Amino acid sequence: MALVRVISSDGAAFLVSQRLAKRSGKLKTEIETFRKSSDNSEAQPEIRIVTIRAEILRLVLQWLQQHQNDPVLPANQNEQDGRGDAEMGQSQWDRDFLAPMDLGIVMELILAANHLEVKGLLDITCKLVESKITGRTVDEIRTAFKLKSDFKGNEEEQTRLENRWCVEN
Amino acid sequence: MESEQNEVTPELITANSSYNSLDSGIQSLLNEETAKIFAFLNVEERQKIRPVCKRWKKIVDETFGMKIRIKNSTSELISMCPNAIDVELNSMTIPFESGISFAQTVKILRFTSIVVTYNLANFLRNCCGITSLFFTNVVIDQPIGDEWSQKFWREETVALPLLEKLEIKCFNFAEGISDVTRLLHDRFDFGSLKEICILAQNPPTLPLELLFAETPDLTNAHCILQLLWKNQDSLTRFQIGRQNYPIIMKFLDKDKVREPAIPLGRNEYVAAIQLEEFLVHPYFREEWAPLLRTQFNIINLDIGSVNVSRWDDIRQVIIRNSSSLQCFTIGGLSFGQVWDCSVFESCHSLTTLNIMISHSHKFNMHRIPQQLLNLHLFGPVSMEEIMSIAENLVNLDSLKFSHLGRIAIAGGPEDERVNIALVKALLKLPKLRLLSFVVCSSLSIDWDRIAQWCRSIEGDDIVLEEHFYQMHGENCRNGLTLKISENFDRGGFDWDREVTIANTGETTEGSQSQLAHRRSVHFNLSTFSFP
Repeated sequence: MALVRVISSDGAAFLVSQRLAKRSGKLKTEIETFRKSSDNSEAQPEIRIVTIRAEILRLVLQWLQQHQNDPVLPANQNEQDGRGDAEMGQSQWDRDFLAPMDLGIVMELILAANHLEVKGLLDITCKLVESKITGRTVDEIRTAFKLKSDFKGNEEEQTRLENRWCVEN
Repeated sequence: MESEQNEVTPELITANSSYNSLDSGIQSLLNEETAKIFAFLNVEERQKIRPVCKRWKKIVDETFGMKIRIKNSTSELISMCPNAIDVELNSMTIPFESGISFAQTVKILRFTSIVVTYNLANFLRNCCGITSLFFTNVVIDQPIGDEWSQKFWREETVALPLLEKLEIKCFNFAEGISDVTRLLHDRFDFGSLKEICILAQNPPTLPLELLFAETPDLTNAHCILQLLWKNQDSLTRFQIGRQNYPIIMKFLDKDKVREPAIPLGRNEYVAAIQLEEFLVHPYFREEWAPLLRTQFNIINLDIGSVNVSRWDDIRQVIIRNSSSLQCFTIGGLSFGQVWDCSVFESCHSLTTLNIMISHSHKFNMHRIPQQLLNLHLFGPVSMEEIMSIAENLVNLDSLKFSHLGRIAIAGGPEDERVNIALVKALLKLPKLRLLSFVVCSSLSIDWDRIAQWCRSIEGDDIVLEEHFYQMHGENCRNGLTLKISENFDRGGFDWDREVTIANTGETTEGSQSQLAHRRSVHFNLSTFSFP
């Protein structure tokens, strides 16, 4: 089986099948570029991802492996609360996968999924962050995401006033 | 499988496998990635998070456009939102004042449940960049006798050169639509108005034919027609009617107008406005008939429910537009009159055909051109005609029958009904992906056998949906739909597979015997009966 070496920013190398790697848009282009430039068609491509560290890259590959065979999501995972999740393509496996992660890891995964062009992973991670925003007040969001207000003077007050139509309901 | 699994497992050659999080928060994401997250939020949630920090506010405003709804509040708010792109003024009770802050940025302006006063024109004069304008339940406070308001009313026209879409919705027509359209016609100039949409619970009946007269004179016509006429050069779409089924007119680009290929007949002329799409809901009015004589470029025609006395006009339209027509729908009730499908013979672009005439037999199916992709027949169709569909329309992608009605002659043989052989013949159509019989009673279809056979062939490549209705607490079958995947191998399929059916010794018929059988069915119109 054709393999490819994917190397993380901190030098860890992962040996994965090209079939799996090609499920990432970015790796697919990289492999094709390598094919074109290389004379030896048997040579094993080596791709260096300078922006993603090993820990995160491992998670992305793990996710890709889990989802390697599903163009569509497995809908039968859980009957009782499957409906909302099915829309997002989030399976029980995905939830278990994301559950132990703190927001920092999730952010890095978003970055990685976006960089490697892995649509499904980007969707579930973005959705996870979205769920941390929806239904919370501005102050709660600031605490959750460790953000500070950087408005000057009455700018913040004014922004809040502009929002009156959606907040007061 | 086992080895396959192992081979694709990412093999960790060197790595430290600690699970530590670097402290990269949401701030480490690019704006583009943050916007992706925000895209999952609904509009209100997205607005709510604007005060979190400057960056979030910027991302929301720039990526999604700032939307504000100023509801039942004072004019001070109008001056507070200098970047708003989408503004809704809702339930305001005060006159608008000039000096609004969003005038430069606003693109979409909505007036909702509001009484606007005479200075609306001045208000809009400042918002010269708007592209969409919505009026929902708006009442215009007509100028009263005092000189001051009269002065505003008489001022010169306002130019909104970028406005593309105009939508006027009103629960009750009389209340507002006329006033708003009159104001828009009299006081405004639009350079690029593309779409006018007027929705009301009681829409007015417009003499649409006036727009298509040889020398249109609209001086005394309804102001909606005047507004249309004034903007005919830029307009591409006009909608009027109830929200769920308006009349839709799509105007053809002037450079795309083709002159009629055949010489014009009596009363025929090419109107200045040529329609590309004309969808009439719910029914075609008698007085619009002259309009049809002036059209030669229609691509999509849904004539709605139409009186039998107008069928000749409709046939003429089909012939006149035969070179462009791609999609045709006719509905209505007849009294046993026959719809002759040979009228479509010269429509060489026709891909979708819906003949939704109840109580009316349709014949000459074999003269429908072969490139047809979608066919929907409503009301009775004889077996013979269905068979000729199976033999001729080889490109069909979807085929639907509804309210097949009683096509059997009373007391006639049972297989006057649609039978398995006929369903098989239809399924053999090489490109068919959907075959559906809906609201058809067992008088017209041999449900028991067909349903059993369809269940027996259900599989990966054929999906069966059965439709029932409830009568006296029992499920009565009235339809089924077969979805055929493109992988379905018609050549290799065992068409003669027998299905054991209780109480009938029937075996499935071959195509030979079907053909012989077909000849024996003579459909005699004089004995054609209706329930």
